[in-house]
Amino acid sequence: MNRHPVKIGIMMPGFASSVMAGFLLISGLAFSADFPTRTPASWRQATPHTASSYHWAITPIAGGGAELLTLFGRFDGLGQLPAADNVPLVAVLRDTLSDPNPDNDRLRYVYLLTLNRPNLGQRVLSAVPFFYWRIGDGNLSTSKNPPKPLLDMSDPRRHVWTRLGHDLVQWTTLDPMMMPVRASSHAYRTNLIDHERLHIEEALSFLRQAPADSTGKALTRPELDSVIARLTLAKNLLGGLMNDGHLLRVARAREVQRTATIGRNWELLRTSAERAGLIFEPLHLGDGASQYAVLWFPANGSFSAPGISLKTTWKLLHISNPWRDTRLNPVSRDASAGGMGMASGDGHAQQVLPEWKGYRQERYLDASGRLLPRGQTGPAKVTLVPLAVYSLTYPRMPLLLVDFRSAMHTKWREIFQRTRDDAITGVLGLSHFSNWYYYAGDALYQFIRSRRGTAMDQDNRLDCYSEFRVAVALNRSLDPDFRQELQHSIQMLALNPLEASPEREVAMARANYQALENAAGNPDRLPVRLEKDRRKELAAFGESRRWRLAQNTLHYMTLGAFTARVPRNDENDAMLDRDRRTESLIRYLREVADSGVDPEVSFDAVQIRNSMDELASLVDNVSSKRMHNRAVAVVEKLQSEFQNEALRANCARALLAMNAGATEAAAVNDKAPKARALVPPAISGKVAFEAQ
Amino acid sequence: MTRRDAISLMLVGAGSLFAQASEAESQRLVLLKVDGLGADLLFQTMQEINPATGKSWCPWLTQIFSNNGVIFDNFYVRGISLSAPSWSMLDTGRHLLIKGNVEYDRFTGRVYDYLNFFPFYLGYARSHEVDMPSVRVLDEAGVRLLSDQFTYHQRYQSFQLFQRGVRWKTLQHGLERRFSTSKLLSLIEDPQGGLGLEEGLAKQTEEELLRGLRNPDIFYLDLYTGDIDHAGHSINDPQILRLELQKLDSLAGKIWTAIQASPLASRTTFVMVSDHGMNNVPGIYSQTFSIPDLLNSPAGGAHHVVTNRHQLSDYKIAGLDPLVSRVVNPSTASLYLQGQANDYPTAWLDLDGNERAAVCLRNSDLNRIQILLQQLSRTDLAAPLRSAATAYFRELLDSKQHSWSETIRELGAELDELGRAITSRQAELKDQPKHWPERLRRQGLDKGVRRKQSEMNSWIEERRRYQEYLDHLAALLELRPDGITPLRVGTEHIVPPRSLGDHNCVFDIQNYVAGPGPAGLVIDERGRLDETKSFYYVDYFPLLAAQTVRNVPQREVSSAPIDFMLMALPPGRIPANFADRSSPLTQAIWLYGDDEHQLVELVRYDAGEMQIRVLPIARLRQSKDGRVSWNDQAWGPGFPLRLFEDPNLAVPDAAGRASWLSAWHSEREWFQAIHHCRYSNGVIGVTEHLLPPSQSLPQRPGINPLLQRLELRRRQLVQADFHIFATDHWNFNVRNFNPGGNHGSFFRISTHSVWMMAGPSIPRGRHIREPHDSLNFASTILAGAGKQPPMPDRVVDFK
Ligand SMILES: [Zn+2]
Repeated sequence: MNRHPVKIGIMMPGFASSVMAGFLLISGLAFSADFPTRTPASWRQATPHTASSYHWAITPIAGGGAELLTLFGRFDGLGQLPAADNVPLVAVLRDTLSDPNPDNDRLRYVYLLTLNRPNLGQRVLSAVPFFYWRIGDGNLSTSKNPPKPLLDMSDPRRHVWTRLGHDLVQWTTLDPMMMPVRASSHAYRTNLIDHERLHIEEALSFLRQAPADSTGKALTRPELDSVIARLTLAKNLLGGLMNDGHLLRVARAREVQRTATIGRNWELLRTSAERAGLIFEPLHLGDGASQYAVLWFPANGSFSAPGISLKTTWKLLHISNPWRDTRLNPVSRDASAGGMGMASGDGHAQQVLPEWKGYRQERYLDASGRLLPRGQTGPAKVTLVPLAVYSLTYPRMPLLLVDFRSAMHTKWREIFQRTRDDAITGVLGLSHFSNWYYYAGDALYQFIRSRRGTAMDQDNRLDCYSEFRVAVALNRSLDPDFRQELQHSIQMLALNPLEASPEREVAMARANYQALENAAGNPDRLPVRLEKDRRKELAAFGESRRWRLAQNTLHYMTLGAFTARVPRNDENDAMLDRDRRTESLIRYLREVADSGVDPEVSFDAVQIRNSMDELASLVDNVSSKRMHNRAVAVVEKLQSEFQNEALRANCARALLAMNAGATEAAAVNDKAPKARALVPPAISGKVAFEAQ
Repeated sequence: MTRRDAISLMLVGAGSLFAQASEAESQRLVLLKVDGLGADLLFQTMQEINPATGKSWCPWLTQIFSNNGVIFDNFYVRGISLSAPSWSMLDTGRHLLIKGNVEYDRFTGRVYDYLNFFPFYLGYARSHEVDMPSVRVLDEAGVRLLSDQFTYHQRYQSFQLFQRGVRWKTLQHGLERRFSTSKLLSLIEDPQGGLGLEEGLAKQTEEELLRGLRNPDIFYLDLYTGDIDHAGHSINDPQILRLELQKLDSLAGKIWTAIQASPLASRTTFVMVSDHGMNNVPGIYSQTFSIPDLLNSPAGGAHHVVTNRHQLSDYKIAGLDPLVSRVVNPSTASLYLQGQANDYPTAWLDLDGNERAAVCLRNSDLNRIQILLQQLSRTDLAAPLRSAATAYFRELLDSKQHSWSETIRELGAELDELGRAITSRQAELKDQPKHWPERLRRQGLDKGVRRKQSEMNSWIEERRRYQEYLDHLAALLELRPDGITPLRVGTEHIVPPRSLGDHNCVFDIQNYVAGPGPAGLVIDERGRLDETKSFYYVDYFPLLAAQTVRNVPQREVSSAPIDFMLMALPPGRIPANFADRSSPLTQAIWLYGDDEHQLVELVRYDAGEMQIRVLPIARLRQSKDGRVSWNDQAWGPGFPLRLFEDPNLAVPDAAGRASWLSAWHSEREWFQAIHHCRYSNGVIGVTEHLLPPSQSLPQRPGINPLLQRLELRRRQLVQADFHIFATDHWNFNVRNFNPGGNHGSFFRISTHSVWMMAGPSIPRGRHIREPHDSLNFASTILAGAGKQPPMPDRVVDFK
């Protein structure tokens, strides 16, 4: 069946029934031998998985208890670097509490190692309204300090509050000021946010290609997915507020969307090329499915499409008709019979396209007229001129990234839209609150334009651009001249004065990695930060949203001077271990309970039983009453779901143990009351405010 | 209470008493209907272990059906693997009456858009419609749905293709739960996640089903889900598809658990069924070939082409219009209908299903007539040419005289009878109350009346449009140009607009008049119109078979997008040596691969048993007078359906496969021999897909014969001229690319579907290896539920 194209909402893959590790690879074991096996299922004839050019490396943190996982890409002969070199790209700190048990591991800082911090000159330029150029390659000096993390996985809200705070300052303080201040602060802020998004997307593009690990040494699939989901959400203003419990669902929904978008755009572009007499070729810049494509002009071909209107096709392709371009098609070679022809003569390459000064490629076609891969020869030779490169990840339509006949084409598109936005918010000062009608009209206008084939979404365009620039910078499989063409075109697209060239970023990665390793090895650097954040984690453990909100408000009211942390204590690590394990067990059991009645059909009964027993033994000493209650609730729910008597008895035993523990704990708590209230009284007991 | 109300109540009371009496031994049916779930994908996933749990990836389905129920290992769609036809067979247990997702009435241009829910919702909201168009068609034909075997209050039907009524409350609550605070909050956190209105509706429907299970009065419940089909079309990543299957698995688990806890647990049968599979192969995108583009081009006949939706590449705001059922794609190179795309679109396509397309072309002679009328209205036509053209025109009309007059007479009589039916229906409906009390509405009585009202409205409209067509025909027959004076400008519009006229026969498709000849009308040396030179002809099958595409970047995909064409032949015109006097041919079918590789499939009934014979042939032609001829070929590789070379062809003697293939065999013998082949049960499927309505339309005693004949005509008029099947990994869907995968063909991956059952009366852990098809489904489960099976000979005895 085919649905009507109008689709309400967006498909979300289910979550309840799949376990945390549901993404692990198929084991391939035959479960029931009683199935028909006569004909092999053709849907499984997957293309063989090619070896990844990415790998993980592990650096322990001084003092133990954590490790730095660094994603390296192997790129042959990159830039000035020697051949077959490994470039560090992204690093993630995993807080393991020095044991091999993955249940108490938590991911923390995510570093983008290719990050190049803008220098003063760049910052000044970025505050100049309507200045949309990148000057130079970026900051050339290397810093001894490691780059700031893009994100703290254990505290994603911090990111939200920081950004909201800045927005508030902009709206309340800067916007009402005189126009030059407003315009330049707006320009600076827009550039800053774009710059951040550019890097988040860059990190994402690396992580999407990263191999997952099933041995527990590097990032596992669920860990990798949660990092990807967190980074993806960090692109939204309030994305950091989303609960950890929803992360995998978001990650999967995004993956579904992205995969579907790439496939659809691939086909949209291919059919458009077919209609317009051009040649479509997927452009493999990295591992996995190709997310770019190039359209070639067959220089010694001819084309006509009588009966068909190509108006919408050119509109979709966003390029001018090359068959009417005198540089490419000096004499009208329209074949009157219709269809396309292709000259099969070789040796004519020198004569074709004397007018075209740009890049060209000599390629071969096979007997049925399809393009053979570069390096293969066939019965017909063809001279190809690149027309355009598209990203296939932009929603709804392929996004034009490079127009080889008009270097400024895409640049003007960006400048036009940015100018418009900057003029409206920066110069005219229209605000979303008082001038909502303008924005409503604008939204409608944008909707119609995008339905008619214009790429109106600036954020998504930026994402495509960000992925593309690093993909090209790291690619070694393209023809070097073609790659140079692409690099040149990408440079044109750089709008943001804060940006560094991708080559500069890659060169920077090594220094950043060195700095990060140094910091990891220096007991006064990274370990200190980690220790502080662990105490913060302990303070927040099991607390409600309201408590967190209050803490955050306080933190920002004091301009970040104070943070709720538990005092230093030798017991902290043990406590953290208990808390985290409890949290993991509750999460697992909740998933089991939420899977519906009779969980033992879908989950391993032994694992469920062990988890309940462990939870019962842990929850006694856990530092939060709220967590204790949650543990009781989840076991109670399980008890009602199990059909199996033995498992029900197990639940009862666990509940009994937990309630007994609770009475003891209550007695202890009475003696040393822990902070529960919302505001300042909460500072007593386990929590203390501390200077940053 | 009026007297009428009292009578209705009494009737309802009696009905439910009767129902209760028979319920004592009857079984409850719970159906999980899954659109587009391929059996290969499902079985494979059920067998694999999820390392995180140590259980199957589909633990519930394994537990319910594999351990405790029956699985039909070899269950296939009968006919093309397309939703509307396939569900129609599963839902009725009868031969096909609906052949595509959209059908067009050749005379009137009426569109039967079976998949579009929106016009139906709108019509329902405005109290005009009660049922989906598909159900209305079946009602009109007198075919009962499976669920119709249960009374109104005994059944719970979810949203689906063959849907009676709309559950407004479900829609409303489904929407409400999407606008909850927590949903809106999560939208702020993740705007790209969307509101998921469909998800909300699915959740609501599911809850209502679970509630319905607790009600001991409900004996039929079904839940339809299109999620798997939707995912499979857009994505072929096995991990993502597995997630979808896991969702389905947990849904099945919830239903099964609810059944166990329900009051009727001891007599409930749980059934899971899918309407078709999906040609979804990891790593290979399904590529689209545009048939509208081909037909728009002069080589393809420069047709103005009608599709049921806008093409995706058109980028129209109108593309959002959910009510659209008919879109004209004009040709910019039309040979004689320039600028008349809306009045004279000459090719109407059903591209849905995507691995196949149904093509309806305007009758070739109507094109000829319109071209002649255009020429005869010219003032600059030389006298000899005018007189030759006039003579030719008269001859042409004379040749039409007999059949058109018959159409005018017969259809006219049918319309008169329809007029009488309308009058009596009007009288019947006049006394019906405007507002129905709640208790009567709960019995569905208001819907019964509204259903009659809707049927009557469509009769009125239909009568008007058929009459219009007949008026045009009559006017054409009366037209007698004198051969001297030019016809009045615009006379050509006497040709019925937005109509295709009679069907094209093989001769027409091989000699299709697509326009005037390159030099206009030409006379030969004897002063007569030179028929060959005066018109521009297209021979469609070689043209289609020769199509190649240059942009085919995937090695696994052929550059020839079209696999073969399928067309019915007139059984009476088959060479005599193939027909047996004692058992005449009931069907003759032509499968065209290329000029040298064609099949003719013959069907006859011997002692009430269907028999099929397949012949390899070349160069089939039909002469102008209708006789069909061909050259015999020896069996070898390369014929449509690729039977000879198929390693999975299971014939008794491998060396004698050629002689086996050419001999008469029963349907069952064929089924057993071919179902593991690449084209699965295609040999049987084509007979079902091309089954003439005269053989599939049930005879209803008591119905006026003229109205029965009209119904037959309606069904005959929606038959396509021919069908095009796509090569592996190709599709024809230009309105919404489906790179993930498609269905519609006879490929085993597309036809191999799911049928599994479990319950107290069902054997445990049984696998049925014998092949079965859609026609077995409804009869078997109805028989199991103690109801009358629509086709008793199709009941599978698996106990
Ligand atoms: Zn489908």
